[in-house]
Amino acid sequence: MSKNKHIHKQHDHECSYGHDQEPRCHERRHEQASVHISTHDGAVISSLKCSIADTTYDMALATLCARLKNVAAQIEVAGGLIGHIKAFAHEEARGCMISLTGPNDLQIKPCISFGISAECVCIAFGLTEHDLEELLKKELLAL
Amino acid sequence: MNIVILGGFLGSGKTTVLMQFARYLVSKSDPFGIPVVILENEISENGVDNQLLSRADFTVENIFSGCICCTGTIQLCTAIEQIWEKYRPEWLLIEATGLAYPDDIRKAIMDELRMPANVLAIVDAKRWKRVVVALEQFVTSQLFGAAVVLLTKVDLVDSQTEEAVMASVWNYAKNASAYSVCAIEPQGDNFWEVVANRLKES
Repeated sequence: MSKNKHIHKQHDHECSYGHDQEPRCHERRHEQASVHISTHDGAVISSLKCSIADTTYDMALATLCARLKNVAAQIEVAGGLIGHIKAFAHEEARGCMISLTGPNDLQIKPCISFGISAECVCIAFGLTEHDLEELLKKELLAL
Repeated sequence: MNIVILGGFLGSGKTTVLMQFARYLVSKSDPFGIPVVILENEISENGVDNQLLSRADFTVENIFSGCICCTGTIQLCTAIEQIWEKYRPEWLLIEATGLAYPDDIRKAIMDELRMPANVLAIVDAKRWKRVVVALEQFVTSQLFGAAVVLLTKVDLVDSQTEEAVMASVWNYAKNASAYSVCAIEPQGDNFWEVVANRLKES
């Protein structure tokens, strides 16, 4: 294994952060790449991108809505106040990779993916950053 | 350029009102100019409202990842100057974050750019009582200095609650003109004309 190739709790990869940092801080950077968390005037602000693949738009949307309702319910159960939970969802459709190594060898590799991608924002009061992050990871990143 | 700051708590319906108001302004404008530019401020890393507004064919500029009433004042003033240089719009509608104090934004624009601006505050009739209990100082300060207050989601409450919320709102925005609106029955041109005139004259 190369110097920067290493294993995290849920994944392994080549890492550009270097290994002279404190391990917990390093792990945290990876977490922030999936759920971005900040605070403002007592509010915890989180944003993330997620996707639901291999299903129809309607089914994926129903799943996303159900998960967002779960997030709302669990914030209230934990005694928090929901500022708002919003998501912008759009259908994934046809795409392709275009590759050239010279002017006459253009290759197109098509791919068709079904499902939706969503950008989600959740703002809540009365929860810790950690609790909100864990909730969102469980409900939305585990899709 | 008429500058309007849309403020109000998270989830109160600012974007819905903004779209209705912007559509009215566009419909009444000179077809050869740019009547409305929307400056969208979102406190989160990802923008959600701006995607909706851009797809609705409005001219939208964005400031993400911070609140323009406090840390983002310089960014705000720079953005306003750039919008004026680029578009020369008749109206600039600034949608504040649901955590902003709109009157602070108004003051910053006046102090830094010498441009008058007015606050259009949005109040969610359904959640008002609850958020006032939890965050009184915060949500009531969001109404301070408002020229117009719109009470939204009145279709989701009974008339008694609507009256109680309106009376409560009046305590914090005594100089404002206050109206009830409902997203499922969009307001007509006459209503938006009154709002636009009130925001111009304040």
